[in-house]
Amino acid sequence: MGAHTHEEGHHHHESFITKYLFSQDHKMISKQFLITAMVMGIVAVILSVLFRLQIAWPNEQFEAMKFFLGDSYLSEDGLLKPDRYLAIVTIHGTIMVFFVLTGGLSGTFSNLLIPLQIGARDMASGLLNMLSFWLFFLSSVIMIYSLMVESGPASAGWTVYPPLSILEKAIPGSGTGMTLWLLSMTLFIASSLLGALNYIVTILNLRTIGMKMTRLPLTIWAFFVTAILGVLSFPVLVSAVLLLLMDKSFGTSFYLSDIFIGGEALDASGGSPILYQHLFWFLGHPEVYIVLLPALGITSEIVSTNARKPIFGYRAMIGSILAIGFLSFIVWGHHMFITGMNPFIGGIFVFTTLLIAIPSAVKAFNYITTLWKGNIHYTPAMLFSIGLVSTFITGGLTGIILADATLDIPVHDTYFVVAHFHIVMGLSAIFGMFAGVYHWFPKMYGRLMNKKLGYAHFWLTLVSGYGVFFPMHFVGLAGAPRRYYSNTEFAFLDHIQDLNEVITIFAIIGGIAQLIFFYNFFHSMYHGRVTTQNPWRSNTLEWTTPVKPIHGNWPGALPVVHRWPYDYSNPDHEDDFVPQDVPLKEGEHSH
Amino acid sequence: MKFLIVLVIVLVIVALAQLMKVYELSSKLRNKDEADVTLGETKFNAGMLLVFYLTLMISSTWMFFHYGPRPGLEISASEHGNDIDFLYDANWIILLTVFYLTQTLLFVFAIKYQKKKGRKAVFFAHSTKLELVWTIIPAVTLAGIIIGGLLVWNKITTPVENAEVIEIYAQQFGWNARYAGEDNTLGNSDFKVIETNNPLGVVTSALIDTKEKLWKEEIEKIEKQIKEEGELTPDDKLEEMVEKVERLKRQIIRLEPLRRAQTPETDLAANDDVIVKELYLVKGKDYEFKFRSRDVIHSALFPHFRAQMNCVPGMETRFTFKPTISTAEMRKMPEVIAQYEKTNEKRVVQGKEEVEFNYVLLCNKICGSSHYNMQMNIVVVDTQEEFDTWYAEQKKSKTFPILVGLEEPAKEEDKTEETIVETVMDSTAVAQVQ
Repeated sequence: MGAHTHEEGHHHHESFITKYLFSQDHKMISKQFLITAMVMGIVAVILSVLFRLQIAWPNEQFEAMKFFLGDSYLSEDGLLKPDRYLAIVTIHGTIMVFFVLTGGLSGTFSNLLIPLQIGARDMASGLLNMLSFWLFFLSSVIMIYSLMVESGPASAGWTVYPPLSILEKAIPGSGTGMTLWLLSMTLFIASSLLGALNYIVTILNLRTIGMKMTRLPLTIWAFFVTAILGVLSFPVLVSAVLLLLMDKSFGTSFYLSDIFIGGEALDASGGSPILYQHLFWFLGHPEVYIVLLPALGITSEIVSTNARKPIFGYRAMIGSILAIGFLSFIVWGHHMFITGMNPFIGGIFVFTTLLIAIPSAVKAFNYITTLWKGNIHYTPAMLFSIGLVSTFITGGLTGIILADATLDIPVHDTYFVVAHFHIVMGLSAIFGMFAGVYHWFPKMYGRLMNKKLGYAHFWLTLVSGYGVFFPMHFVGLAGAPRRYYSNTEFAFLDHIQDLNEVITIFAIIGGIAQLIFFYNFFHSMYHGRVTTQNPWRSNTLEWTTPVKPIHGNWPGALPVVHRWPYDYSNPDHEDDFVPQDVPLKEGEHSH
Repeated sequence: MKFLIVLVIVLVIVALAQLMKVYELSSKLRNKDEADVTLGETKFNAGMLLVFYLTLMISSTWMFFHYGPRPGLEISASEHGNDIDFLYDANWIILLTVFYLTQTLLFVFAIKYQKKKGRKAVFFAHSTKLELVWTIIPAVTLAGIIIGGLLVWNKITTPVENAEVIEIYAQQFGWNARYAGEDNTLGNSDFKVIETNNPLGVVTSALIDTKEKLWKEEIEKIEKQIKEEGELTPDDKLEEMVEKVERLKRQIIRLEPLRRAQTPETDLAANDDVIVKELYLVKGKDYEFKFRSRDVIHSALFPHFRAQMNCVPGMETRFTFKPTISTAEMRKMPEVIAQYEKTNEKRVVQGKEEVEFNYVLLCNKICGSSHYNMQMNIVVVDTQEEFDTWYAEQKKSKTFPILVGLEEPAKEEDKTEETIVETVMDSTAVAQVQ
């Protein structure tokens, strides 16, 4: 079923299995990624609300805990067990970072948009693409299943630092739960690598006539750099994970040394837990940008379309994506300032990390300038994109504090960090994802999502997002460590308990608000208004495909590209948009 | 309750579905294009953007004034902490300026340039000048931030000569501290010789000999048992015994490097070490803390002293600081009095004990189920005399006889690790109550 079979646009009969299950069509695979990620997202949101309840009201019983987690997570007095608290925190983080914001975001939009926006019939390899989804699906199932094993799921935090993640005696979740975590992550990484290779090859080789690299929409640039980051960094995580598995199951000691636990001295010697941290963060930091860049790419496209203005500084935007991508590989040490790292090396990481602020600032200013003197259409997608720019700035600024080794000392591993990365990476990326869903829903289902519900969803999400994570900075500045089952053991933290309650209330509101989105999504899938050909009056190629998606994307020949994708409100043209396949007028210069 | 939750969810969904139906019917009647943003919607969202922007500005400003940049930790109790606080204030001024400025630009533009009939956006694709401006300004600002940060960083991380050495040893879920004694040198230590009464695994030649003797005796005992009752014991039990013998043999071999590292000097260095469960520091004295861990990674966070360092099994990390305010002085600070009055008011209502200000060391790296309650009390005294009185008391203490009387190592081999953890927890609980 290679792309060539569809050159003539023949439509052949597909069975239910090849169409919906083992589909090799990039649009179907994209929807599969999205819906799997949405289901994973529900689980992670529920977990987060549950542990927020625990932090805000540590000595109270909640029916919700029993309802969602079952008795095995509760102690005899009906409270969440401390080690299970850590377990749900761990699984929340893992699911959100990897399954929702990596697999979900890249999987959905790279798959949907790369062939459609570069003018290709499908991905370079439909088979690899299909495999990529099914590995992702399998790893999702294993991750969810690990929540149900008797000794609990992995509980050492989403970063699973050894020795805690290796020693079952240190925490029960490091037994079966951890093995399943490692298995699931290995499959996930395989999925992610297959996907990323496919994206890179497709973008490099399958662009339609006239689609030069400098005419690519910024979405594609973002997906491209994201895929490269993934290909270069995920293999390092695989090795870290495999070494961890060997330490755990085969008695090696890559990460273990000098350990006395459970009344005996372990044989392991010569390993270093810090080695794991280096390997992990060598992936972990690019991972932040793997999550963020696609969201920024989506935003560039949506902001430009809905402001009816060309994105400001197209080349600077590409340059900053590349700069961020490159720098993201030489900053991982800022996660390890207080591991006893050589202060000189620490200083170097301070320098490289703060450099990232420059391309990030360029991006933020370019978004703002794109809005200037625009004609802004407040579609739900546009609102989410504006929200993204706001959270990107807010979260980015606190990053400057954390990148500074000196300032990091008192707030490292406190709620200040949690607030920072949830705003800059969590909120921004999820806003980008929502924006993308509202904007490209017509390309998935041929229908439009309901706008009014979209507004309700946006405003509730934005307000509760800020409501949760803005006050959290102060919890961290007060010295409250993250991953504490409760703050009641330290009287000096008593005075910020009110803030914790406020945060939890916003978290509950934010969680419930997502029901609106789910309802809107599934309702519109069947009952939404049928879309017009180009509902947002956008320039990119996906809007030249038929309203009802077909295998092979274009019924006739592939479109030919004549111009860049941001000819909005071009004074040479009557309309306020000029699609990429419109030939240049006489005397008009391509941008 | 379960039923109620389900019922509420179902009702909400039904209500939404009905609303949607009404909305869809009415919009179909008006033949509206769902993709197009109507004037009403534009006005609504522009208004919401304005309200949100104002709320964000006002509430963030209020929070900064109400909580301040270090709520509850206003006063730094260490010398370098003042530098860090100063650097924080300088950074906050820059960051908040940028925050207010950029958010204002973003929201003002987003509101001002809302869709208007007949308006065509300005085709403004790029401007090298502008782009240079917002590359260079952040770059210069960041250069300032980097230089400021690194100056303080170098100051903090430069070792201080003649600082008093104290070892902080972390374990699930408590802390031990070891004073280096008159010679200011810590004796050798090793995780392999840890036992109930030697929780830090301090090594002396005598201890190695005793350990070896004890282990050899045990091997003999088990081997004898295997010989005599081997045929009657079940297989799994027998296997266990054989394994234990092998383990002990391995441990004896692993004692060799320790023995070789031992000299009369290190024996002496170990013999005057004092292990405590509460940290006493003298105001104005430099301390060099050395951190180790016996099981998983922990992190020693001293919030009031603006100090933090990971404790990593298999390696030693360091952090140096000088306390500048004693516990007694801190309790008289108006900020502290105000905070603890409020705290105690609430605690009384909740039926909890009233508390006084205390310095505390807490664990800040996820380490297991009781991570949230891994703490050590710290007392900063005003004078060396106060410290000496306490120290003399600690030396006499029989809690850890191994250091005082190495000649008589206890034979509590059967005491399990759990009881140690318990005692650690108990003593921290006591410290907390105090």
